[in-house]
Amino acid sequence: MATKGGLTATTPRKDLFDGIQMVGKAVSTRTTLPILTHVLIKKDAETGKISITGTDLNMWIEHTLPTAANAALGGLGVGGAATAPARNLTELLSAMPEANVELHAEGSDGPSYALHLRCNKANYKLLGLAPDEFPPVPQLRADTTFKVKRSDLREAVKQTLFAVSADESRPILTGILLSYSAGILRTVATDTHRLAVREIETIDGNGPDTHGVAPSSAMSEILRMASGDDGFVTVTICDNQIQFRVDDEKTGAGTTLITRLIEGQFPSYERVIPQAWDKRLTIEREALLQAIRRAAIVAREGSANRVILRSSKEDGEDTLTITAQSGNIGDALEQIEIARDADEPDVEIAFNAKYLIDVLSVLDCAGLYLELTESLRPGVVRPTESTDYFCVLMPMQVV
Amino acid sequence: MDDLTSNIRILDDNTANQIAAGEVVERPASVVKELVENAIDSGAHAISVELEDAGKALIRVTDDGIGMSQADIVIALQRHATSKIRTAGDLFAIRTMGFRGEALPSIASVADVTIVSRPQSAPLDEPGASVHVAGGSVDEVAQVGVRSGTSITVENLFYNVPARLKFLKSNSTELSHITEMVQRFALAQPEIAFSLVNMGHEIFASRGSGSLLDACVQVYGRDQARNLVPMDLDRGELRVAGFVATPVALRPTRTGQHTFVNRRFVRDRAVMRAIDEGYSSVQTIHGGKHPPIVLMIDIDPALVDVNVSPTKTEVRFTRDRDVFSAVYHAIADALVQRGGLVPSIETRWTTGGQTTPEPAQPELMAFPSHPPATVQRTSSDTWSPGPSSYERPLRPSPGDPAAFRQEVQERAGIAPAIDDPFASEIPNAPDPPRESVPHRSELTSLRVLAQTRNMYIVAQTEKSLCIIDQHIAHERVLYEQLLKGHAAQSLALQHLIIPITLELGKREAMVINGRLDEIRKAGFDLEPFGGDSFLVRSVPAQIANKNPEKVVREIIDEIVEKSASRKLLVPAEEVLITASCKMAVKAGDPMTFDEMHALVAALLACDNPYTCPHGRPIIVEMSNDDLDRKFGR
Repeated sequence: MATKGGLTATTPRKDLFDGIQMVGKAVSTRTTLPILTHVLIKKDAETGKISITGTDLNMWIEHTLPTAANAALGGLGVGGAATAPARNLTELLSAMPEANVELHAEGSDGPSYALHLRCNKANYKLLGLAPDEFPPVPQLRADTTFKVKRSDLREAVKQTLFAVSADESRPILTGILLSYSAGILRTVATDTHRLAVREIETIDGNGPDTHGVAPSSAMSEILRMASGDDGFVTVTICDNQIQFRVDDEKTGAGTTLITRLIEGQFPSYERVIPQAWDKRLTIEREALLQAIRRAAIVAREGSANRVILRSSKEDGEDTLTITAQSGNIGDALEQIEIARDADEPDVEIAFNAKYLIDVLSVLDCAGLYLELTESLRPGVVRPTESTDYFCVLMPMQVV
Repeated sequence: MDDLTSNIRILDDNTANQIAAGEVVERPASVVKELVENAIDSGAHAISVELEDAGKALIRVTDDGIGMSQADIVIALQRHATSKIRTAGDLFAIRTMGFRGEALPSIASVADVTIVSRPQSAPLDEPGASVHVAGGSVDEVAQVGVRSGTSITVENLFYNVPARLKFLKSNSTELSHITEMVQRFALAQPEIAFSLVNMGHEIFASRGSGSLLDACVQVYGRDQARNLVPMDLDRGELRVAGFVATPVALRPTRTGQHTFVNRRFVRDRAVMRAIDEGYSSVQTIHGGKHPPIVLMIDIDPALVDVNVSPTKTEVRFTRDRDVFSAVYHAIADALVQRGGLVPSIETRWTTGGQTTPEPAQPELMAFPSHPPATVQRTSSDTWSPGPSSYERPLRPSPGDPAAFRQEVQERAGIAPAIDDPFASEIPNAPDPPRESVPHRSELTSLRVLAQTRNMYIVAQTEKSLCIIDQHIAHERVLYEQLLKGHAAQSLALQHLIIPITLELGKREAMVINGRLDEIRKAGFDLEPFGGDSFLVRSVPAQIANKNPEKVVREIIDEIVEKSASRKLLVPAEEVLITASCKMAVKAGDPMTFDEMHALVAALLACDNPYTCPHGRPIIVEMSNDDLDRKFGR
């Protein structure tokens, strides 16, 4: 029944605007394929739901508008689609008054397509492209599928994303490894200077254990997509793609993100995780973070961000002394109270301040362990109250 | 041999002189040297050298010095006759050129010599004397009418020493030796006018203006002289002065290097080493190149022994370390402090009035024409509204060295009266010199404006517009950090969780194995991993955000390539240069403002913010004055 290229729909401006923004990150900014700079607005003939899709052919985001919007639509059973340039549409909608927006597009077999927008007395016609040329959303073979809590996934992504490499020459390190095994989802990221690992529980698992490396750009979208504390994210992993789906059962809105997985072999990170420690410092996270942040102001110039951590007994107190030096700026010295086993020897180790700040700021625990062996051996940061996260930091050395 | 009792004899004078001549007189150039030295010692203001057949047929050295009487001439022809020292004690306070008293008799023993002289002090009506000596004995004495001064003519050199004669080189070779010799004298004695004529053609002439810079212009030519910066370091009894070339003018040989001790040309290993090390402390010299330099060491004669060999080109210093240090610092300071390392954008301008275009004439005053050093004329079209505006209305005529000299001095940012240690006169109080090179104090006001072509940072100081090459600026910053970091033990390494494995070729592995320490000093910890494999365990923290594998690969490739053209072992310093080059931001990398600010700040903190380790300029500048003139303001 759908008229080819035709569309008629009415929706609150806010819903439409939110939808466009949600898919905006997937819209390509390159103009080699003009249709990729457009979004596809589609109305399903059977359900009457409106969905918006954006893609750059690596990642697709499809957002279905809340049913409240759908209810206001003109007659069921009439489907249709249109495209509009994402940038212009976003700008227009952000400037429109808070009212219903009427969308209308004539089905056209001719060379030109257009989307008409009306909101109160504002009337716009945006030139579009043929909707059937819009790249279709891939249909995944549901090899392995499971659900995770939204808040868990958000945290797992946040606590590993910072460790992703920015170096495009080793693409496999520019993503987060998602490894599903025995009902547990592990997110892992490393840029070869640090390694962050988080484990979260899953439910409703279906299919064999599997893993894949998802691009960091897609994973940072997950942070936005999986907002709210309630509800779950459905994850589907197949050969070369991964899909995240969130549904809001109350409003009927939903978002699906599909991204290609990065090809290649993720390094066997398990080998580098220190299996033992002989010095464990218990430190208050916030105090350490503040101290490192200050010391980094000195460290960032001329000494490549290097801060030196030294544990010792000062006036009978177990103390962590943090120092940084810069030939141009001066010296930093911070002392914070720590706890450690009575017979533990003192230790001195240097880290990149930025790496410490990165990991300390994605944790929200009150206390943490810093597990060490020697100055030139990796250190491990762990929250005191849970065992599902750790971050391995490689030390810096001075020659 | 027939008289067994008297096998050992005292040599007759002539034989002794011939033997001495063997030491002193090797070739025509040595005759010129001895005669010119005598002329200088006679207090001449002008010395002319005339040659025929590059001196093989005739050498005539004429001076306007104090002259000799007939009696003096005859004595002078005796061995060890000299007016310059009287006792052995004087040897330790030698200020004159010659002193051994060997030259004239030695020359006279191997050639026909005619000495014509008239003492300056002689009454006007008294004639001069002419003495002709052949084969060592006086055969003709006559009275002639001549001007005061001395003229010595040496003909048929080595006519009685066939072996020497046979070994003389071609005319052009002998002539080049003589030319070099006379040029050295011109540099050492800028207040004396020298002229050198062969077969009636003038080969070289100096004006004797008293300015060393003038002499340099005449010896090196204008183009080269433009690249000279003055140096002057005074340490009481030891003073080092002269001119040294900026890196754009390096030469493949040492021919442009002239070193003098108390105005005597010397060729001393220690001094050369001091030159090389002083220069490379500021500026790495690539591939065995040498800076042209005129180096004047003035030292208490008691502290130097010039009597090491008859040719007097070797010297011994009592305190050679002091001399080394003085030369080293004189050069380094001149290069860094006098801003000899920053080329400026040369522009021609017009005040709007009609000027006579001289398009066919090569630029007279353009600063170095090496492509990286300056905005070239071809590419500078954009700087100018029309071709004729390139012409300076007041351009100095090519034959006007005084104007040129002023130009050079202005360009070098020096006042001649202060910085030219050999100036005996100050020509008409020159205008205050215009600063055309950003000095360090000026650079501190450097403010980043933009990046162009993802290659250059455009910045401004209070006095000029500066364009900074981002790659070599960063290279310089890294290089100094590596050098210093390594000296101060503060180079930070970032250890890797997962080491990078490098599989190298056999040859690569060999070269790299020999330089693991230096590569480590550059921040890459390479560990042999069996066979030709290496593990990279850590990388410099500074390049943590770059692709370390690519960087280390590039470094290895370049080190291997360099070792191919030379020996298996690359200089340690070269490893650091290569490393900093490869780690630096590339031309074509976009930079944010913050990055540019940080880079410029780091550059200003460098000891030498002016040139990269390979000698290319980092900053070129266009002064506000030039810019304003372009717009007719």
